[in-house]
Amino acid sequence: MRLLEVSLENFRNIKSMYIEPAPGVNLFWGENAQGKTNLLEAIYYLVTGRSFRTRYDREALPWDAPADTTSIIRGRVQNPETQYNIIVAIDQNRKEVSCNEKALSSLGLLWGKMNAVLFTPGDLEIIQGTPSARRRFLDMEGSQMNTRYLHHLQSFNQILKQRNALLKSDIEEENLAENLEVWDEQISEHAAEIYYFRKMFLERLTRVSQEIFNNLGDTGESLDLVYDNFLGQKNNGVIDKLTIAAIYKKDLKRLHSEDLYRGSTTCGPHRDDFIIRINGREARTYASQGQTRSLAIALRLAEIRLMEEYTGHAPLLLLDDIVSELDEARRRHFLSLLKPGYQTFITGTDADTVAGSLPVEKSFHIKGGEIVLENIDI
Amino acid sequence: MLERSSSFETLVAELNKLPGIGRKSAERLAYHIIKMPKDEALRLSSSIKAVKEKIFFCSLCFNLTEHDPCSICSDPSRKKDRILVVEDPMDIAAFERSGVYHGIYHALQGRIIPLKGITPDRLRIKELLDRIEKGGIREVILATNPDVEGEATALYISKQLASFDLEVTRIGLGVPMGGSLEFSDSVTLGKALEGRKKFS
Repeated sequence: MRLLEVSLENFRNIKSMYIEPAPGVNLFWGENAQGKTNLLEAIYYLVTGRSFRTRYDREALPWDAPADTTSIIRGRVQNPETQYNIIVAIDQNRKEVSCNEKALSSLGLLWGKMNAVLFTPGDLEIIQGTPSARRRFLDMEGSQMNTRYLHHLQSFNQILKQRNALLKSDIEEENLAENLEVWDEQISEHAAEIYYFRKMFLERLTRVSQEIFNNLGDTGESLDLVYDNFLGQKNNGVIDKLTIAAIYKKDLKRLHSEDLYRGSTTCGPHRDDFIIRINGREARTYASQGQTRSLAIALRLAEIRLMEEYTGHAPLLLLDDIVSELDEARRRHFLSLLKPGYQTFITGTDADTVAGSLPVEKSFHIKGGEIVLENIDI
Repeated sequence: MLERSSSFETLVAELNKLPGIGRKSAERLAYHIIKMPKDEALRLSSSIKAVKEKIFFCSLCFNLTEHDPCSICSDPSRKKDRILVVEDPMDIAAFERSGVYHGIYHALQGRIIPLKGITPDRLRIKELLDRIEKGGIREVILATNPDVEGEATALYISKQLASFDLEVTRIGLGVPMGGSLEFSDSVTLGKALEGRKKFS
């Protein structure tokens, strides 16, 4: 998979820009707040239809732009079978994503056309943050790798909203069961699919990231990712979807009055988490700064491999300000693990950010939202 | 350019209330109506008045009708032992256009949507049960839409019908006719496979 062209109009501080990235490593360099990360964000929009920095699309509009401004991101993508022209247009009120001149009715239709693995300083949240940060990691990666997972997540959330609305309504307790059951029945099927995917995914992620973690310099340390899920231990290791759905449905039923009291669904995959352990101790509290950085990077590197296994395509790599945060030894190990063959976009503060470790093919000096210098190094 | 009179604004505001009509479309329609010959515009307004005065819901199946019971419910050639349950009268029209169904209908007038405060008691489910209680029904076909709310509505009704001695069926879900397997999404294909039947 390869991004052939990107062009931007009115995207954050970028008025107008056109880039033809090299098939290998592309470097965006310059001082802070000049627009390097904006470029990565734009590419991420082409892949997922979303930003990795904010939930609010209108932040893509330049802050001083007139009210009728539209941000436009265009990308031309080559994958083994075909080419896609993807356009993301954002104005004050809405966002429109189209592929080959056809508007897409949901982002789900965009997902899977192109894949990317993003490394950002915010990844530390996966280790240090709340369970929701880890769920977001699972969901973003899972949805890119498997659009069925995305479907089950979306359906689950839709039913969850309906179920919670019912619990918040002034429904009489004696009518509760028959009204909830119709949602329980459906939601448990999706919950089972979500459980199944997360379980399998975490098992594979553990295996792959353990090896990478050790290669990053923390030799001999053991890494475990334990799925802390809504079934607890009740499934006794069974991962048959029908059984899982049945167990969850029973749990939901048992909690009907509890849920009514709280006005929301208290048990389910929307509360899932996974616990990261180094040598048996929870990384969230015990890992050092350096270990936390290595861990975040190990998870992302593992993701690259899993993404390739699931989709059969090499994903784009987006590296936002990662390299500068690592100490010398970890940086060398990290860059040596990025094998050639991926189209890569890196940001850094100077032209030789990755010098000596990665063969940069094209470098772009970004200043004030413009490319002031473009170099091709062959 | 026309000066913006209040009657013009009122018309725009009223058109704006219609589904799928935004402010701009409402203005465009209003300008169009102003440019229309007077008799044509009046025909539009009187036809709106006529449907509001003449059309009501059938007391049996809640289809739209000018006579009670509706032409389907009162048609002696219809098989009265099977009821096709749909969300809205528009769905009845779709089945009628297809000409493949010769039984009677029941329009629920919506589906269960707790987020919008639509609970089962707001739908015509009790009326459906009353019709079935009167006897003579052998099969109830649930044809609500294949999304989560439609599915929940179908499930709710099927549970309400559990105590009756009749067959409850759900319409087949999956690949549309004339469609291509290659271009079907994985969820649709999954449903189609789930609902497969014996080749006879």
